[in-house]
Formats: sequence, C-alpha cells, structure tokens
Amino acid sequence: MLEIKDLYVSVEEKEIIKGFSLTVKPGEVHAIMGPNGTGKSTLAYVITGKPGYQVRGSIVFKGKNLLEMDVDERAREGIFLSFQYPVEIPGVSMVTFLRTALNEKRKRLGLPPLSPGEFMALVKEKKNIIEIPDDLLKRSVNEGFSGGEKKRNEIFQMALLEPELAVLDETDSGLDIDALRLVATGVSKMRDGKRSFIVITHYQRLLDYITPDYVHIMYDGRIVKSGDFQLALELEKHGYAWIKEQLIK
Amino acid sequence: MNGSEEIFNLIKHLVETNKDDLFLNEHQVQAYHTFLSLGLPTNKHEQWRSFPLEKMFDKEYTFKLQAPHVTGDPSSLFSCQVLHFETYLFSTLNGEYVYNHSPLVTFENGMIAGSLFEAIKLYPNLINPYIYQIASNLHSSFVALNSSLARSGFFLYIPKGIHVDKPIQLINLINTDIPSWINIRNVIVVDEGAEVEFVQCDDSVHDKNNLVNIVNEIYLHRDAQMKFVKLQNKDLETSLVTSTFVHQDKKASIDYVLVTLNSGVIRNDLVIELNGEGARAELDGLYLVDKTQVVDNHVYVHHNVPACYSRQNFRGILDDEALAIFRGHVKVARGAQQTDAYQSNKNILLTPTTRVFSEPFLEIYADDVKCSHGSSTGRLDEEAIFYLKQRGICERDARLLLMYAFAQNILEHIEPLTLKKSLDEMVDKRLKGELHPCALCVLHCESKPLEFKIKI
Repeated sequence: MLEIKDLYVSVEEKEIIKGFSLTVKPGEVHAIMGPNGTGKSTLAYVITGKPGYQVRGSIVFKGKNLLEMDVDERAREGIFLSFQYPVEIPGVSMVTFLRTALNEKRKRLGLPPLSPGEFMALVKEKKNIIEIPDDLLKRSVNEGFSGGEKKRNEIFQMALLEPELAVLDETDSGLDIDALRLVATGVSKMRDGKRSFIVITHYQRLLDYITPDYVHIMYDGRIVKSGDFQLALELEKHGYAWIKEQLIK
Repeated sequence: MNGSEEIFNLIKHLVETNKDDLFLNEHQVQAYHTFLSLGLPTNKHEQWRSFPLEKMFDKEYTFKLQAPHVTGDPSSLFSCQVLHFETYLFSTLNGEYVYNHSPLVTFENGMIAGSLFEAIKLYPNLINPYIYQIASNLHSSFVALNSSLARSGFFLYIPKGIHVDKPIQLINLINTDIPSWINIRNVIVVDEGAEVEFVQCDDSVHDKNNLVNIVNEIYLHRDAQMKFVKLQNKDLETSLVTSTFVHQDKKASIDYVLVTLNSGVIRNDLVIELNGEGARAELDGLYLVDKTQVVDNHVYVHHNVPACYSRQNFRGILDDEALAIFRGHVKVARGAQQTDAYQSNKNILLTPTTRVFSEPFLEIYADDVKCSHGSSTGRLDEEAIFYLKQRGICERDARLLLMYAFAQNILEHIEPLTLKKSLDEMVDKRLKGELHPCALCVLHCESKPLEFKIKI
C-alpha cells in the first residue's frame, strides 16, 4: 500500500530525514517511536505533502508516485493525517468544513453531495466511533477547543472521511488517561483489516490500546531498529539512552 | 497645470458666472468661501498623503448646478427577482432625487422621508437645527463643496419613540454617459427613543469618469438607535467620496457596517461625535478590492463625554494591484473618563503587488479609560490552507473558505437577517470573482433603462 524508499528530506539546507525506508501493507499498524527532533513529524508532513521540504527518494502509495501529487490529491487518494497541533481556523464552522471535505471525497467516488440531513445522520453514526459534543460542530474549526477536544476532533474527522492510510502524529500528546483511552478506542474501532496506520508516538502507553504489528525506532532521521510490540515494551523499560548505547556498539 | 487646479478653477468660474441665483442661503455662501480657502486636496495634506488623487482629478467633469427632480418609480428603476428584501425605497439617479407622486412623504406614524430640498422649503424649523450643522465644512474641501453646491438629496425624520417597521433604503445610482461631478446631501434625524434600520447603496452602472461626493448628516437623539448598512459596488473608472457625520446624544446607539465590494477610487470619512453619556458606536467595515481599485477609510471617533463605548473593526482582502488605506482615530477628551474604545484593522494581501497603509491612532486626554488598538496585514494562513487541503479540499476552495471566514467577522454584524443573507451571497460571489459592479445588488439584479420625464 505504502512504500517509502531511501527518503532524504531537508529544510533550508538542513537534512532531517537521512535514508528512511518503510513498507506498509493493507491492514497493518506500524508504530514509529523515537526521541524529539529525530524527524518523525517531518515524515508525517512529507507523506501528506506539506510544502517547504526538499525531498529525495520515493514514496509510492497504491502504485502511484505520491511525491508528484498535491496535498489535497493525496488526501482524496485516502491519506489522512491526525495533526499533532490541529490548526485553529476562526470563522470556518466545523459543519461547513466537514461537509466540504466529505463532499470532495464523494465527488471523487462519483457520489452526489450529501444533503444537510444526510450529513447530520452520518455525523450521528460516526459518534459511535468517537463521541464529540454537539456544540463542537457549531463552533469554528478547532477554535477555543481544549487539547483533548482537538485530538478527539481529529479522530472524529478520520472516522468521517474513512481514509485508507491514517498517519497519527503524536495523537496521545497532551491527553490525560481518560481522553487517551477514548481516542485510542476510536482508532481501534477503525481497524478493519484493510485500513493501515502509521502511529507516531514517544510513549508506549498509546500502543497499549492500539497494538501495533510493527514497532520502528527512529533516530537521527532513519529507522535504527524494528521489531514487534515487544520492542516498544523494551524501549519503555530502558529509555532512548539504550538505543544510543546500542548504536555506539 | 494639474487636474486638481483645473477642476478648482472650473468650479470657481462656474460659481462666479452663476453667482446671482446659485446660492439658496447664507450657509451655502459661507461653505463656498471655506472651499475656496481650503482648495482641493493635494498629497501634501496629511489626510490625503497616501491617496492617488490624480486618479480622481486628472479627469474631466461637468458640474450640474441645478439638480431637477426626476419623476419615476424608484422600485421600477431597480428590478429584483432574487431577493425578498422589503424596504421603504428611495433613490437618487445621477444625483437627482427620484419620486413618483410626491417628493416628500409623511407616514402615518409621523415619519417624514423624501427630497431634502423640498423638506427645507416645507419644514425649515424641523430641518434647520441639523442641516449644515452636523457636518463640518472645515473637515475637507469635499464637505465644503457639497455644502455649497449640493442641490439634491434625501431627508429622513423619525419621530420620538417610533420603531420603523422595515428598513429604509436609499440607492444612489449613477447611470450616465456624461462625465459628471455629483454632490448629494442627506440628512437623517432620529428623535428620542426612535429606532431605524437604514441601508445606503452607492452603485454605478457603466459610468465613466464620474465623481460622486456624498455628505450624510445624522443626528441621533437620546436613546435613539440606528442600524446603518452602507454598500458600495462601483465601476473601476468612478470616484466616490463619502463623508458621514454622526452626532449622538445620551445613550444613543449606532451600528454601522460598511461593505465595499468593488471600487474605482473610494474615500469614506466617518466622523462620530459621542456627546451624551452612555452613547455607543459599533463601526465595522469590509472591503474586497482588486485590479487597480482604491479604498480609503478614515474613521474618527470623538469621545467628548464620559462613559461612552466605541468599536472600530475594519477588514479588507486585496488582490492584484489594489490599494487600501485605513486611518482610525479615537480622541478621548479631557474628563471623558470610563471611555471604552477599541480599533482594529486587518488586511489579507493575496498578491505582493497590493498595498496597505494602516494607521490606527489613539489620542487620550483622560486617565481612567480602556483603549486599545491593533493592526495586522499579511497573507492567508498557510498552515490553515495545509490543514484544509489535507482533508481533501482543493486549494481554491480552501482559500475561499478562509477569505469567506475572514469576511464573516464583519458580515455577522449585519441586520436584518434577510439583508445579511443576500450580502453573504454577494460576498461569496465577489470572492469567487463572479460579482461585477451592476451585475447584481441587493435590490437590482440588473438595471432596466427607463424613460424619465424631467420636471422643469
């Protein structure tokens, strides 16, 4: 489904990702862990096509060269990013935003746009995956949302847009234990054996709820160690210093 | 000799040769002398520093010294099929007051509306305390010239305690091939505790080289409330100068929303005098300009007494080579304690070739006040565009959503709701590049050519 090969990424001459390769098959959940500043968020942005990066290497998604596509095309192909810091957009209501996004997707699938009634019915249905308060939908996108509300809103959007590949960028950061459980349960409900996930996180605690098929440790712009869920547990026990030591050896 | 001098000399010549029967009263003579002493503005004047005066003055105009009335039904002048925006409709066409049967109408509730100069004749005692008293000729030579030469306009009087049941709409339409300099004077008096919604539309149809110079004099008595929506949708080649003066007594309140959808060259001056405690002024402005359009808003709020409230919130989106100027001035007089005043001007520049001059300014002579101001000018938020596009929304729609949201901050203040909805639609079309001057307005979908009989 997704194949990243020999990826090199720099921003303003500074190299951040230095030879990154990863293959994600349908239905797989890959966790990418690693210390701050190691290029995890950059990876998420490069997959989704954020401008401002110099990129070498290749990213192929469902057989298509992703690097030649604009952000919105990639999104309509089925790539979703749950933002670490969701952007506040004053004046654009959640309802307008979600309907526009959903109808873009439907247009691509050759479906007619949803009427306001159908849309609200769908919203209600998706609340089974993750509960969001009604008043959130009436407000401007992310404006004045608490940290927890923002993250829930991201997962809710994912539930609505039903992507084929979801990249979760530190969806657990800034969440208390209850909010974390809610968000993680939402994500788990979205696992259907076909949809793939790349879960970027510092900590193992999110992975307790979303058991990954693979765990990769990213350090200094590349994957330095891969394994299964056991690797996350080991990392939690020994800390990132352990990885550094191993690297020196 | 530049255009400004030429026009100045032309006016002088016209007045000198028609002097004997030109002036109707001493005020007009005085105003003419003030005009002579002020002269037409140049870029050396502080108030016109950044304004491209040559766009206005390097043109030829004819002056009409007598403005006859035009007979016709204002509502047939503007046909509207889209909107059900019901108003009491009044209009001027090429600076001439349009009416069907009677130039001045007295309604059952005592409201008087119609031709200003008819009102001067019929109700001198009612109108004299206001006309020429609220606007200051020294404010600018445009005001002085208007005081001196305007021979038509609109008068509105709302008696004590009357709440007018539907909005009053005044359309100033220009539809002529003759390049003209047109002066229009409007006087509005809202008596104690009365309430009115007023909509003023400045439109033009295929006009070339027209300059419309409008002065509004508004008096809001104690506890009076006015909602004032001003719409401007003008051709590229036209100039519009508006000067609105508002005097407010105790607890009088104004909600003013200015929407400029297209301009040639527009200069709007708004002068608010808060003269009674508890008076309140909520002043909003939105301008959407592109090509070589120019819009210049000067807002002066004078807190002359304690405990008044004012808000200025002006926003603009500029494209191509458009130019916008905002100058907001709040003056808090000595002793005007507990003043609450705020100014904000925000601009979005879509191209690097647009220009903005933004100058919020506070002048405070009291110590117990709450005053603040802010100004920001920048591009659309790239992070927000990325966020929207990541959800599958295409670039164009993402940008439109953001621009629309930016404009909503002003539009949400518009009442009544029917008017807000049609303005939403117009702004939406404007942002998509589908709205052209004279194509669609709140009242007329298209202007029909009409035969008019000139009353001599």
